Amino acid sequence: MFNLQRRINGNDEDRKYLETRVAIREKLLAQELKDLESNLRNQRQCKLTLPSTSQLHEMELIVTPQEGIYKGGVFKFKISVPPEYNNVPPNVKCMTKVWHPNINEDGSICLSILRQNSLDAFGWRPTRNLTEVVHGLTSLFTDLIDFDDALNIQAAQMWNQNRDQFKSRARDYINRYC
Amino acid sequence: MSTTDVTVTSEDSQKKTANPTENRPFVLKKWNALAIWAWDVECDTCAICRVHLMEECLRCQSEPNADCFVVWGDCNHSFHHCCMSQWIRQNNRCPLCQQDWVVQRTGK
Repeated sequence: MFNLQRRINGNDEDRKYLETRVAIREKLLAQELKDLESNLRNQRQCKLTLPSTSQLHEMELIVTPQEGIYKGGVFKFKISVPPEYNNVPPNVKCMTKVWHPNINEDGSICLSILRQNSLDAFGWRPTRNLTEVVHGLTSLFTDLIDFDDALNIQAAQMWNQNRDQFKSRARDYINRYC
Repeated sequence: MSTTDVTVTSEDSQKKTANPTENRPFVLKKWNALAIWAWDVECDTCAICRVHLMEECLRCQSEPNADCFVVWGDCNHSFHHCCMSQWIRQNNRCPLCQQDWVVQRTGK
C-alpha cells in the first residue's frame, strides 16, 4: 500500500529494485559467460548458445550424450536467469521430450543444485555458477541419473521392474523426439 | 597501492665499486627494494558478488552506499555485508562451508 502511494507520486521502488538486480545479474553473467565459453570449448557433450546478444540471461543448451542409455540423443534445454541471480538459481526447462527418471514429460527437471530452498549442502547457493549448472545437466544423462529420487515415478518404476523395457522406451523417445 | 618502490643511492658505495675488477666482473650500481603485501585473510574476494572485499560490492558500485563493509563469520569466511544480508534472509548459512552463519566481526 505504502509503495503504491509512492508509485503514484512517481517513486517506484519495485522498479528501482528490479533495475539494480538486473544490473547485478548482467555483470555476473558477463564474467560467467566468458568462463563458461572457455570451459565448454573442445568438448562434444554440450553446446551453449545465446539466441539474443541483448538478452544474456536467456540461453539454450544442447546436450548430446556421448555414452550410456541416452547416447545419440539431442536434448534441448532452456536456461533463463532470473533478476535475483545469484541469490536464486537459474530456471531450467527441458524442451525435448525424454524418458528419464529426473525429467518429467513437461520438461521439469529434478537436479539438486537447481533447488532454491535446500537444507542440505547440495542445493543452490550464490557460490555456484552457470558452469556447475551446465555440468549438472550434462551429467544428468550419465553419472547423475538418479532412480531413487525420481520426478518421473513411472520411469523409475519401469527401471526397477524391467531395465530392458526402460532402455527401449528411452531409445524410442530419442528416435521420436530428438 | 600494492607495491612500493624504494630507491637507495649511496654515494660512498658507488665510489668504492664504480669499476669492475678482474675477480669481480660485475658491479652493483643501483638496487631497488620491492615490497608486496596481501591481506592475511582466508578469502579476499566476496564469494557472492565476486568482487574484491576491499572494493565496494557489485550493488554498491552502481548505487553508492557508505555502508558497504566486510563481515566475518564464526567460520572465518568473509563477505560484503550487503551481499550476506541478502543471502541470509533466504538461508542462514555460510555459502562456502554451510555452517550456520554467526557474525564474528565486521570491519573495513
